[in-house]
Amino acid sequence: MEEVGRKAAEKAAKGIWAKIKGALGIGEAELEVSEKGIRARAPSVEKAKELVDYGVETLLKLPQTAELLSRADKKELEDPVVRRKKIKRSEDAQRLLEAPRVKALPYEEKLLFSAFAFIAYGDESFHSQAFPEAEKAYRQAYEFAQELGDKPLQAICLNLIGAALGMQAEHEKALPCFDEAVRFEPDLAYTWHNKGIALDHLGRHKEALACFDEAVKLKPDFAEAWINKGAALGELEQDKEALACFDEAVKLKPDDAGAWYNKGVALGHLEQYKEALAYFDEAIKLEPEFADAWINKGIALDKLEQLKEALACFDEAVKLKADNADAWINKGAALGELGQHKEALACFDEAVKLKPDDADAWYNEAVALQRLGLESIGSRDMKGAEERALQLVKLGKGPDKDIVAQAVREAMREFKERLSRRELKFFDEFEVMFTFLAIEDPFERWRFLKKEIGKRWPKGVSAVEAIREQREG
Amino acid sequence: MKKDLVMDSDALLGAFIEGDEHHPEVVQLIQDLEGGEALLHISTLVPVEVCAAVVRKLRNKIGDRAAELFAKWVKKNIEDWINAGKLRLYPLDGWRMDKAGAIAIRDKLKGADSVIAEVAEELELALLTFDKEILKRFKGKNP
Repeated sequence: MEEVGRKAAEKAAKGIWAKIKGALGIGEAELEVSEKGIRARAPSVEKAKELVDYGVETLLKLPQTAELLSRADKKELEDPVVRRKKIKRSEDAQRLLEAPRVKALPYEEKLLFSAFAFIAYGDESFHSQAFPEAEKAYRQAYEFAQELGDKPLQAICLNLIGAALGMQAEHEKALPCFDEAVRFEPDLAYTWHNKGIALDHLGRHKEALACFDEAVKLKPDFAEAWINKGAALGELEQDKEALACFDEAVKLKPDDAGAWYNKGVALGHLEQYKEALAYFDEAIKLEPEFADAWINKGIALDKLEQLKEALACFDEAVKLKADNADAWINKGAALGELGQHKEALACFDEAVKLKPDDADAWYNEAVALQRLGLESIGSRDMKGAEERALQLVKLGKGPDKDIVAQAVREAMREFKERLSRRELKFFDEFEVMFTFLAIEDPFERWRFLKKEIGKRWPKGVSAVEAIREQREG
Repeated sequence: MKKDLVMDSDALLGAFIEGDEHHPEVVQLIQDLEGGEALLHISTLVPVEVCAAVVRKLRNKIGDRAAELFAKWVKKNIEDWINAGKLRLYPLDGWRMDKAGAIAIRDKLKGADSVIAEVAEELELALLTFDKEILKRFKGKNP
């Protein structure tokens, strides 16, 4: 058995992957030993651990291991796929770090092992979305790389720190990391790409575009960079140029739902809704749980006036991602268009709960309340109308007063513009309610009320007569 | 000097109807009320009569439900003034009933007119009313 493991490790040391079936005499077991990692497959966790321990020990018996690590082209590690292959699982790296053999290694090699171990740990945390943890690990790796004076490795670490910061929406803080990284190594496609993403988030689309350009120049088969280049062009309203980028991405990665989706979005921007539908369908086929693709398919259907079909898409999106405010807003809008205003209001309620600082969500909620208020007045349900007006008043005094009040005002103005003459008559009454209920000072309210009653009071009847009439029965 | 007055229902109703013949006179008073330069006293009958007049006169014009709503808002506004201490309310109890009855007999006023007038006589304050019959018959103070 020892012999089998040793052979595998020797192969690994030469850069050849070794796969040993039936290792340790376990029929279904499989042990993979590579230059930097060990992977085991076994019928039980215990057996797998046994296999890994065996592999590590075998690997470390070889003097070439550390040398191989230092020979690795660190620039390649920029590519997450390569990195995963090279560094393998973090447990392996940790094991390597703790192994007595590594402890005995020369100082520089130990630093390298340590940097790799922390990168691997950071990657693991990153993939499990523990971004602050990942950032910490990458920073640790950076310190080792700094001590080593290894510029390519420093650049890789800085890129990773920036990426982890980006995932924590710290784009301002991420930018200097990417800048520093490309200063160390200017030809890192992933770093340019990540810098572009950060700039995009900061609304600096032109600068982002330049970064994506650089990334695709360095790595023409970089599908994500093409997608993001397209998205940046879309932000700059260069939709035709964006389309070409998404075409490139679809060509490079026909199984990437994102590529199809983005092309659909670009077509939507160009108002080619029918064509866009096919791309959203393809994206959904590849990734049936792609909520944004469902939303955009719904929007395209809505534009093509296929409201019921659009509603079904938004329903699906809401089912897939109940915390997506856009899905709720779109579902609400579709329900509103279908005349189901109460149901629409419930959707907008959800949206404002999820995105309390989103003016669009408040705007839609305000419109739904106005529509319902109008319907109540139309059916002479004044209690219902007053309830809606009160809700609207409350909305106008929401947590973020400026955004919400502005959205409500805007909604009132635009909603009024869209009403028919008959509806306008009802709306006046609703507006009176809204205005009255919104005034807090009793004297201000009296000024408003006397004006409105004055407009409606029957001509030729004085207050004195109205009271006298009562007293005389 | 602070104005202290007892208010009849027609005056208070006039305050809520822009365009009413007596509106300008009452508006000034309400503004004084707002500024703390006046204090108004009313019988509990007054808010009831004002709300009744609003709903009865508006219903033919804008329908029952909308008229109810306006009357409700007027009621709320008066209640707010009462709660803010701007209007003082005088309920009709046994003692006031006795006094109002005496005024009705003495001045030949109608029942509700006597209840309103009693508050003015009790407080020894002028009664603000535009009702010609009360103005002619009531022997209390003039504003």
